[in-house]
Amino acid sequence: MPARYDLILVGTSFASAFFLMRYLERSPATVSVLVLERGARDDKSWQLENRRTSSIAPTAVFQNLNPGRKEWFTSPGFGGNSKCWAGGTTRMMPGDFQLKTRYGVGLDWPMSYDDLEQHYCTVEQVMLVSGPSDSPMPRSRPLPLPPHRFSDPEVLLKQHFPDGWYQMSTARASVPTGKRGVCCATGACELCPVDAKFTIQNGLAWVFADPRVTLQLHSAVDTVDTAAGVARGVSYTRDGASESAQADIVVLATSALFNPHILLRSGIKHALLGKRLHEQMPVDVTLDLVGVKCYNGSTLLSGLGYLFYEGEHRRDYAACMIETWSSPFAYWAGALRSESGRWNERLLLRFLFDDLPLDDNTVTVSPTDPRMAVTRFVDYSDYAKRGAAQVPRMIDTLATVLPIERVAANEVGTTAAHIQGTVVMGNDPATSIVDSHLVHHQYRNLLVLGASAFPTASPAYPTMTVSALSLWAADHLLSGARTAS
Amino acid sequence: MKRRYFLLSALAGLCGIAGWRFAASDEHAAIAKVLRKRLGYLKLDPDGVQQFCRDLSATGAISGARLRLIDALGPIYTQPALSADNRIDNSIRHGEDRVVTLYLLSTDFFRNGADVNRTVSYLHYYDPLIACGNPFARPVILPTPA
Repeated sequence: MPARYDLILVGTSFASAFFLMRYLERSPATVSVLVLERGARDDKSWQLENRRTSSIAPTAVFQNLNPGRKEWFTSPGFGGNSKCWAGGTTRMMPGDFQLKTRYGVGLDWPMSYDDLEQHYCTVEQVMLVSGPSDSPMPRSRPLPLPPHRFSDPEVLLKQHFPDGWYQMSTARASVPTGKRGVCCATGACELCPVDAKFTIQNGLAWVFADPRVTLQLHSAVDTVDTAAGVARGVSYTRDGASESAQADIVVLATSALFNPHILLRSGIKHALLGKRLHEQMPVDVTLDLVGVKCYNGSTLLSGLGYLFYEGEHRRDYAACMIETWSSPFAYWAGALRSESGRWNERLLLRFLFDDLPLDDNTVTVSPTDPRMAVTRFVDYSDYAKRGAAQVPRMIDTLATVLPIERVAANEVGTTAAHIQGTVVMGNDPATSIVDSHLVHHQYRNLLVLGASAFPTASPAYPTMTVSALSLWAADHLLSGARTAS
Repeated sequence: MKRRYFLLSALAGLCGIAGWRFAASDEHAAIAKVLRKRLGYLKLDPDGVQQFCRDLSATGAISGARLRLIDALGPIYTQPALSADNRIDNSIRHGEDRVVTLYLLSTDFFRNGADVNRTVSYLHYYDPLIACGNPFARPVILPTPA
């Protein structure tokens, strides 16, 4: 007989950990939870020694049909993508939840900003987020850590656009926390050598060590087992052997790459399943400045521009959030100048545009090896591309403040390092796969957590919303359980 | 007929010279050419430059074919300044700036206050995983308690 649990949770990244945190907070000492994780522990010392975040190469778990044009970052193993993220913790703006209602484009999300506001606050406290006291969006509680320091061009931008430029809200610690190092803008966030960014490993591993939880590593879930409209459990492969487990509730939290992959392999059908894979459209811009020294903030990304985010323009083209980078070694784009005395008179910007996902961008199951997911990215929406076409005009606006000598680069990037869509949420079972509380429309004891549920992109980073949605889903699940009992 | 023969012979000759130059080209020499071209105003420790060339080449961070192309086209590459803002020039300039960045971060240049009159010494190949190697970063300063 397969082992039986109250709940099976698949995955150990943000969506999983925040859901489990809330679930355990509100559950009795008698509940039993099985957590299945495909990868290994791969702790921080292992990562630094091996100079990578996972002992499983991404190419071993998914095939990208568009390498070079579109990249998707993922890090299998305990802590999941929290190991390789850069620590951006922006909330979505209220308008992101109501694109259709406010601007007549895209889709509304099936909840409002206000529904998630308290959950955003909780996540910020758990992650010990650094950020400013002012904010482009309403917030009921201040951030726990002081903001990072602006670089010199950001100081100018803040002076001229006080309501349009902010210190970045980030899980890269600005001051000592007793748990993590302090970010010093090394620019190697993926493997942060001082462990300054929040990860599941350094911040929420304790929920997986709870005595009610059985954490099983090296266990790759193959299918959700269903019968008579109910999820009965999961089948998985552990160290090469097939095993299964049963539970009253099954929760998938394996990212927008693998949530649809598992559902598709399970024979769970929906016209939209695996479709609308998306993220923000990134445009990388390098500006050579005259007399303004850059790269001197206190963290990799020290500022965010909201000048072109909310507004009536969203009826016509995508909203934009602008990142200002503060490391001369920021991935492929970073570089000093060569001219004497002007080495750091260079500003790196990334313009992130929201997208209205296309059905043609997909995650499917490999026909030759069903254990592999396959990503296919055809294009961004015209809406996003119309936004990106505004970049020269946006640079002109910045030029009213910054002494720009030359636009050294302006090109569409290959990734914003986010993975969204593929198991979209909504109120209508015909046009969505999970409901507003991330419960599967058809299998009411199956939850599918994470950014796979996002109906639209938003220029904001997804992690805060992923984590807040997990708290929201857990609250709903437990309130339902209480009502039932 | 003679004209065509002459043109074909000239083309074959040029291809031969280009092929010979490419075959004889050297990745290390290309990196050194970039540094000499872009950091001509600095006094660079020659042994350190050679070591940096070996170290950078060993990382494979820049394609060997690209570096050998730079070396093969040395006289053409090093003389004219890049001025036009087109995609190719920007790409070449960005590549050069990446080499310069890696070199300067691998030396004592910023540690010594970016003193252009002092000989720049190579320390070790820059490793972003060695904490806090960004010479420009300024930490958050907390207000002093009253």
